[in-house]
Amino acid sequence: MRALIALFFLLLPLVSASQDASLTATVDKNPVSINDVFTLKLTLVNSKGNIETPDLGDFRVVFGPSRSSSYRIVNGRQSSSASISYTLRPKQLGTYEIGVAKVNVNGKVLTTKPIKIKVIKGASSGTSSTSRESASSSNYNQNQNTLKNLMVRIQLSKNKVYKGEQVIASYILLSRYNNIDLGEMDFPALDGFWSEDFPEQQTSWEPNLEIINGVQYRKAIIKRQVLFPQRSGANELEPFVLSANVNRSFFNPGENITVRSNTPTITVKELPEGAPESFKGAVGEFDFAASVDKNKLKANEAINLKVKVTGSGNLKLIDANPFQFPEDFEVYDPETNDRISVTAGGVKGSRSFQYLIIPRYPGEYSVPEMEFSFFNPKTGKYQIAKAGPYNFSIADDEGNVPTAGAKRPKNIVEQSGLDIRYIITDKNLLSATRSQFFGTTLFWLGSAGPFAFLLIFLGYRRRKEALDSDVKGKKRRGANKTARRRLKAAEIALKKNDSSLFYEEISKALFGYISDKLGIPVGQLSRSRILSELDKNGIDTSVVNDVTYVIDTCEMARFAPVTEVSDDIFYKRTAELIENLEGKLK
Amino acid sequence: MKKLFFLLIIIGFSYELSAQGIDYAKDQFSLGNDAYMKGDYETALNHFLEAEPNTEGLAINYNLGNAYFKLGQIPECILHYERALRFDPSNEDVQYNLSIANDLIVDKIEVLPKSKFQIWWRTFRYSLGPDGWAKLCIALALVAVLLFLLYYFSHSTNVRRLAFFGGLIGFLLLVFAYTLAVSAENYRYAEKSAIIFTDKVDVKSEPRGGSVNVFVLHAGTKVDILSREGEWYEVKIASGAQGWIYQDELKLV
Repeated sequence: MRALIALFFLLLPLVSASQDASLTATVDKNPVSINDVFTLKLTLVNSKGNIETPDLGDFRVVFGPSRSSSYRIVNGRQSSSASISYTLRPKQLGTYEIGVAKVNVNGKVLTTKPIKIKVIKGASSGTSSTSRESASSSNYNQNQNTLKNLMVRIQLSKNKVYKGEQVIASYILLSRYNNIDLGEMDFPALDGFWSEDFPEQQTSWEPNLEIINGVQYRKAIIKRQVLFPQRSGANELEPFVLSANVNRSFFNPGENITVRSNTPTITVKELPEGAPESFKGAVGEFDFAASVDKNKLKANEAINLKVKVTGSGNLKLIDANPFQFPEDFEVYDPETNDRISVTAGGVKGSRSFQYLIIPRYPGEYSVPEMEFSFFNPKTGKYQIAKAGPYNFSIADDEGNVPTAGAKRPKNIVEQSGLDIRYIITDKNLLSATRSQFFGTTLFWLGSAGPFAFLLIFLGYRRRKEALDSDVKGKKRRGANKTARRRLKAAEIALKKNDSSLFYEEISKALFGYISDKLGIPVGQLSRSRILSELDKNGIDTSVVNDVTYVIDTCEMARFAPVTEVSDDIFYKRTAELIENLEGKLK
Repeated sequence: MKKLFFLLIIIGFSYELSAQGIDYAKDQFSLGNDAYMKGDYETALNHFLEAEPNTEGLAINYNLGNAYFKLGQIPECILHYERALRFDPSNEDVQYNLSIANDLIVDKIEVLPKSKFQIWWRTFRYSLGPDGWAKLCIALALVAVLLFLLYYFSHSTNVRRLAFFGGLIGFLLLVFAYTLAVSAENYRYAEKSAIIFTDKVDVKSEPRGGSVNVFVLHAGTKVDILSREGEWYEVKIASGAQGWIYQDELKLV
């Protein structure tokens, strides 16, 4: 569109080609300089009648009324026009209104619109060809007027919309020049909008003239777009800027003009609360339909499920809904088909999704209801469209083994007589919560206790042994004690002066002691046995001799009184002997 | 001596306390059994649930599982069978019923086959339970200590040698039995697996609602818990796949 578009055309008759009767009033310039003249033309199209001229008292009629009429046939269509022209000169500065012209056509009154004429100071601004001289010697004021001969506008179909609702923006060129070359065009950057261009087409003048304040303009639509606001709030559009070269001809290089359009504001309302769960941002008016091609089929055959959204709105933003299919169904990604066109009514058409579904196992399945919801800006409400549910009955496909790895939900096992086993009925099998024995104090006492006992016991024994073997004096005392204990009976006999009993007790004590020490019963002990055992234990000969002496003395004392030693000394010797033995016998 | 006496009294007292709960549980258990026998599974379930807080072990969970099964609540049923197995993993009745219940759920996950030794070891490990192994520990401790004493007192070299090695082996067996008791206790009480309760769960790649769905699980499937992150559990299924599940979607065994 930025490419230079040249528009060449012949002078169009200022006549509408329409069949309908109409009355229009036009002026050839507005504003008008006080020194200038202008033409008022009242045109009646396709009809006949007496035109009632409005009051022209604010102006001086320089020329007129002059009448003209034309008749022509274009493509078999007849059209006629009759017109009355007045050439007028303003009397004073200011703004004046030319009133309404009327005509009575077959009992129907046609009227024109009133025209406000602004009378300004200075030289006149001529139209097109007649004004070239003044245009070339233009000043600033002049230029202002020139600009009025070329205008661009942005026209919006709506100013207040919901977010996502479509707005049609038209970029319009209005011109009074006959000859115009369009140069650079700067369309606004559309921040906050998602836009869709109308299909490109040749720019051409509209058949109807646009009359603004009584002045006729030719009109062309440069571009049209559908805008979808994405941001709520007041969005002001940037101006549309157009450069053009006007009045170029063979003799004239023409004039470059740059014009800026208005900057309209679109107020975007946020969508109301309470959107349904399935709402995904579709705004517009839609129909929703879904269809399947079959309900009864064999496993591994294909089902086509088609989901179609028809209507006008932001169709291109609609995504395939995530439908829930049974696990046994193999579902391929849907194929999206668009039939969307951009027309004067906005974006319209349909978007459809085609799912290819292959059930892998026989059985009865159902695809749950599908929901599509959208916001309808006309009613200002959310609407929900539904389709389905669909039931499928899949027959067994014999001879076709399901693919390995495909999951298959298992139904209730249908083997007759199969059931769970019966409950436990013995209530004594219950145990209290956390009544576990493992980890309790009792457990630790039971398992570690014996070892603790063992260690304590061994420790005690070792200590005692150490005491027994290491401390000599204590050991002797101990030996002394043993001897005295052994000789207690002998001591009693000694005090009683019973000599024979005394020796007998001494002998008994010695034999008893040795018997205990060597672990040999008294009955088996004889004098020789004792001597040999003592030898074996490595006892000194002097000690052994002492033992022999004591035993012999005791033997002898049985038969004859002992005279060699006194009883008292003998007792002491025996005690010493036992003490000695205690130290040496282990 | 006095201290030990008090300790024993305290232990005895605590046993007494829990004993009152167990009596109530036993009554409810009997009532539940009667109702179950008549086919009134709803009532049976209520009685079993009444008994549940005061007792634990295989019997209550097995019966709860059966009642849930009869009422068609398969995820709950599987949860209780799994709990029952915690107390005796080799119980045939529980295994049989669990296999039937597992046939009714949607997901079927191939379990890797186990060797004969693995099966034997598993059975052996949990056969006595923590208490059984604990009692064995005490018996072994006594035997070992007696053998050590024999070693200490005996005069015969052969006896001493035998007693020493016997005692040593006894001690090693004690350590082994203790280890098994610990492992049996962990198996029973450490929460390491869970059952899915929501009909359909998207397992996520991250512990966050918006993350990618890795795979889909359905109610009744057993998952192993690997870790926990806030309100999310990292789970692993028998086939080896891993992902994250929100805590409300599952119940711990």
